[in-house]
Amino acid sequence: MPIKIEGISLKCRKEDLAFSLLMLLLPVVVLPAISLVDVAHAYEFHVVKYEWKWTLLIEAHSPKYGYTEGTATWSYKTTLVVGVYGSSSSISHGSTLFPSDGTCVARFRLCKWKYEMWDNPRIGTTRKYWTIVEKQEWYVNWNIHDGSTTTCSDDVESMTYCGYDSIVYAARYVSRDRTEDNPSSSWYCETVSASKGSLITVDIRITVAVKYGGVGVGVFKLQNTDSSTWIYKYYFGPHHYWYIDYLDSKHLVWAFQFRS
Amino acid sequence: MKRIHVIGISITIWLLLVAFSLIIAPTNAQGGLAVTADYPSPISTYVLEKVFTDATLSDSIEINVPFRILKGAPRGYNSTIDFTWFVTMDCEDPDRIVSVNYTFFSNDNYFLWIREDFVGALKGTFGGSYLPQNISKPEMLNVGDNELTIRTLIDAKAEKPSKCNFRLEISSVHVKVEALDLDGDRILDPVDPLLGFNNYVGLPIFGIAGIVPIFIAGRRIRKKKR
Repeated sequence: MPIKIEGISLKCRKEDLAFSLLMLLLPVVVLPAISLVDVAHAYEFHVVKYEWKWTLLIEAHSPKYGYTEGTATWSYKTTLVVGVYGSSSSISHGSTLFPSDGTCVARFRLCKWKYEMWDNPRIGTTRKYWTIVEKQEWYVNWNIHDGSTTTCSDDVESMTYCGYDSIVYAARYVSRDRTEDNPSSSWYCETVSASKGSLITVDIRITVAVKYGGVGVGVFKLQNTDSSTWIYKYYFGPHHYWYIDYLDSKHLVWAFQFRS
Repeated sequence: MKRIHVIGISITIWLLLVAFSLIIAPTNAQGGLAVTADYPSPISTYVLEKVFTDATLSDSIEINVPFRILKGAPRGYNSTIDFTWFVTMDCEDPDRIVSVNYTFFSNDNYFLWIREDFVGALKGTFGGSYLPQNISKPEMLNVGDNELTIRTLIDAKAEKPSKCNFRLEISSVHVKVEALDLDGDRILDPVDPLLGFNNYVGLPIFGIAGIVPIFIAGRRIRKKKR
């Protein structure tokens, strides 16, 4: 069959031309189809859910018949690492809490959590992520003490305020790590500190449950990003006795059980 | 005068004009411009103290901080507000909520809201500062005198009357005005004629862009003479 293109004449058979055209069409049709099948196999199930939650920034406890004091540190970084894949979210903030006489307080910020799940049944993998995607300029300082007038052993580890739930955090006295006895008639204090840049709180256990999504277990970290050393003092009143539980592995955040 | 001289003089004038407008004039203009200026509030500490037993209570403080945008375009500045607060309280009622609402205005234009709530029978001292907050929209700023206002509203409520001592202390309120240089050409953005574009890169581009029409014009002169 002769083909004429502006004075150039090509002679070829019909079969050759049809075959050549088919070969050209092959990648055009097949490649997108393969990639579509591949995408469908890779992510057969994808879930995204959001929920605004009160997110822990810092917590502090004081002994009954005692109080807390320290340097006002205005620069912290709170990091929340959640799930097997270690989804990490950070919040920079400045605050300090000095409760007294058995008050236990936690400061929260309203943050929007995103739960994302990717399911790949072909290789049997499910990946889940929990991350903060938005923050409101709304903070709550909440008395996390459950009402006992003597101890911190009944501290509440979650709360609901203005229709928003908090993440769940470790705050309760569980077991004795230390004993403080003050049979004397004067006050005394114990000082803990974290130098510039170092972690104040490591591995306080948290749980993030996003509504209609998944529940992720993780850890809470607090870093002193101020230019000076963070100093915290626990004061103990005369003629009283306490058991202490370290809430974190750095032994800087204490929960108390009043003995007498 | 020969055609080549006319072209040469024109190119020299053009290059001088470009250098003057992109480098010399802005460098000279930024001479009196501080990179950062700090404007503290007229009063160092604002205190609101209440000892009350009423179920509900409202009160407010207004803080005004005058500040200046010296020259150039307001969009060339980054203006931020920063302060610290302390709350000392002793409230008996576990249902007591004390809300502190900070509303921020720049020249009476609202731009930010921060809320800090204290919930339950809290006893102790709590303090904080927020990350420096941007006065985000340049149209809220004037060249010359400006005023930043923080309206602080304290709103306490409980289901029944109960004793509550509450003291709020706001201190170190200051507005920081920083002249930016986002394109990194050492010509501050308020006086930069090529905002977001490095002037030293712009110099040869504008130079060459002018030389081409000058040559074309030169050719036309020659053709007309012929």
